[in-house]
This record gives sequence, C-alpha cells and structure tokens, in this order.
Amino acid sequence: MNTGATYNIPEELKDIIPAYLERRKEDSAQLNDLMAKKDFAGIMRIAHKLKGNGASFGFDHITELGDRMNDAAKSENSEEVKKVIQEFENEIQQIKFNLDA
Amino acid sequence: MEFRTLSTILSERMSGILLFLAAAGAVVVFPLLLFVLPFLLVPVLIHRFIVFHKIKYRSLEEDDSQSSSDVLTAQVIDLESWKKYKEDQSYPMAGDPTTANLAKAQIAQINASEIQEITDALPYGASVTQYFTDVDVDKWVYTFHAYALNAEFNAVTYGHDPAEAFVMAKAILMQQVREWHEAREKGEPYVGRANEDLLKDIRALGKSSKPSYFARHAKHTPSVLIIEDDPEVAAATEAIFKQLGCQTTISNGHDGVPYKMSFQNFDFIVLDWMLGDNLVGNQVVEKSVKIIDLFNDLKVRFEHNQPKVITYSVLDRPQVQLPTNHYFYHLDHWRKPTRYSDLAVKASELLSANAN
Repeated sequence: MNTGATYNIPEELKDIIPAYLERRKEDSAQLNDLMAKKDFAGIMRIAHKLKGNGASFGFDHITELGDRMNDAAKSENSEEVKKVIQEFENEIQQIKFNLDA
Repeated sequence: MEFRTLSTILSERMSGILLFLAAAGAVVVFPLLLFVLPFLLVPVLIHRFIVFHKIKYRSLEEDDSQSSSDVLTAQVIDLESWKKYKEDQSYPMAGDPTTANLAKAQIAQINASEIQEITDALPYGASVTQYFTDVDVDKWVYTFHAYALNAEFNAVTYGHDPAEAFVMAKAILMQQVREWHEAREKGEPYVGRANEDLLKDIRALGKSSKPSYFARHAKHTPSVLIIEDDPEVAAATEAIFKQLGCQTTISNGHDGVPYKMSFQNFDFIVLDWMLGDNLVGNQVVEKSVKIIDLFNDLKVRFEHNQPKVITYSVLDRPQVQLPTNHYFYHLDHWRKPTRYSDLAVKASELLSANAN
C-alpha cells in the first residue's frame, strides 16, 4: 500500500538507496536474532547506527526509530524493543513499496 | 545659700535642651528609619535588579531595540522575505565579497565579538558549533548549532559575504532565544529549527558546477581517509569529498586501517566513532600511534604534518576523545544524525578553512 509518504532523498544518493535498504533488512534480521538472545548491547549498537544514518539518506523516521530502539534496549525493555523492531521492519517495507510505486 | 555662676546655669540648661532634642530626635527618627526608609530603598533595589538582568541577557535587550518588523521577518523567513530583508538592511562590514581577505576579516571580527552576543543569550553550558562556508562564488553560508539541556538552536543562512549571512542568522537565533524563554517558563523543552525553505535553496546552490573556494585556492589536491563501517554511509561521504575535488580512500575500520593511517599521507581523516564489532574510533588511532612510534622517519613526518581528524558520531563531543598523541590532530566533531546537505556544507567549510 502506498501511503503517499515523501522522503527527502538527496539526488546524489538515489543510486545507493537500494543497497542502503538491503543493508537495513540485514539489520532487521540481526535485530531479531539479538532480541532472541536478549543481547541488548548488540541491539544498542545497531540502534545507534540507525539513529545516525537514517536522516542522512532522507529517512527521518528510521533515525527516530533508532533513537527509540536505543532507549528501549538501554532500559532492557524487551516488549518495547520488540515493538520498535516490528515498526522498523514495517518502515523498511513501506519505504521500498513507496519508492517502487 | 548657694551661689551659681552664669556658666553653670547655662551649662545645666544646655544639657537639658540637648537631652530633650536627643529624645525628640529618637522619637521622630527611629520610626522614620523603620517605616520610611524601606519605601525609599525598594525602588533602588528594583532598579539594581533590572540592571543585573539587562547585563545577564544583554543580547536580548539589544535585540529588543530592533523594530518588530525585523523580528517578524526572521520568524517567517523564506527566500523572498530574506531578499527584502537584505535590501532594507545596511551591513557595515559588507564590501567586495570576492576578496578572500575581506571575508576572512569579517569572519575574524564576528568570531572575536559578535558571536559572543549570541552565546551569552544561550543556556548556560550550551555546546556551540558555528562555521562559514563559501558554497559558490560570492555566496556564503553560515551554519549555527547549539545544544543544551532541554534546548537546541539552529540557523542556516546565506549572503553575499560572511557578514551578510551572519546578520540574518543572528536575527533568527535571537528569535529562537525568545521562544526558548517562553518554553522554559512552561517547563517545556525547546528545539529551534533552521528554516527548511532556505535550506532547499542552499542545497540548490551546493549543486553549482562552479569550483568551491577551496578548489580555487588549494595548492594541492587534499586527500581524505573515510573510516566508516557502513558501506552506504561511506559512499555518501565519499561522494561529497569527491565533488569538492578531494582524493578519497574508504576503510571499514577492520581492514588494517591503522597501517594505512601510518604509512600513507592523508590531510583529513573522517572517523566514524562506533565501527561495529565493539571497535571504537580511539582504538584505531591508538594502534596507528603505536605503529608510528616504531619508526623514526614516521615520527618526524607526523610530528611536522599532523593529519586532521574529524570524528563523526551520534555521541556528543565530550564523549568522543582521541587518545593523547603527537601525530593526529582532533580538528572537529560532526554530530549525527546529519542531513546529506548539511554534511556537504560541513565538508566544504572544513576544506575552505584548511586550504593550503
């Protein structure tokens, strides 16, 4: 479903956006593994990265999710971490769908 | 019969009079001191209080002297209102904007005095980053970020010379300071955002094919090492430096980069702080320092020509410290998240300020 969301993707980065999104899908799989092991330090490392790089590529919501994920992992709040990981997966799918549309 | 001299009589009378006057004085003066004096002192104390606050927030007070139309212009700024604002204003430092020396003089003057007016108005302990960039011929961008507890201030402006860009930013920031005071009274956090309309225009300027100030003035092609474990982020950073005419090398931090740092010559090293697999930026520098220490020729070279390191992280500047060393100079810290356009401005500023 195209939500009509708009992204401020810099013209110079359009070619590397598909690779960026693939990398985020890998992050998503890794996050689920880390969550299964309750490795909050590992989750924080990925969250930290998402927070840092989302806005650079025009995906402000990824930066926001990274920030929330980092806070939830820091407080070892499993429910919140799972919820944010799910939101992150949805966001990646949504972005891909919107960009393909 | 007792005989008294005239002087004795007078003395006794005078004592009585003096005693009477003292008693009367006490009855009159004491209530006066008790009830009237406080009324006289209160206005003086209020005046002193106002004077103190004028000193404390002198930037605000000075800015109040501007007309309300100036403040409104700053609040609703877009390109058209900026142009109008520019036409209405006279800039005492403006002159021939193509002269690099004039631009340098303007920046020096702003850094020496005018920036103080803004920083004085910010929350105590605010961490401030501000810089000028010439994004094109005769076009200067001024970028200002300040972070404090529960408050953030941002401005990005441009003008034909640094002074022009700064004047606009000052108006925006003073407006943000006012808004911050209002938010603070309500106990709310405050974020002052740079104007997006203006940023779009600046992004368009950044795409100009005209060479940057650095490209026009640098004596050699600068070399940049980008240490970043996320390949796409590294590619985005590289694109910026290549566009600015630099030679670039990318490392993910796990490919023997301390050897590259030690045996190759780099003018700048952009160092992502968290490099994955628990590798932190300072460990990379530490390893490189140990390698350089083993070779006298490297020691001499690095002592005389230190590569400038720019750390890049979501962490704040105080949390990012390079190990003490004689070989690498920690020039700057860029805080993530950063938009691509802002990163381009920072990179351009970095090269302009360090052209040699």
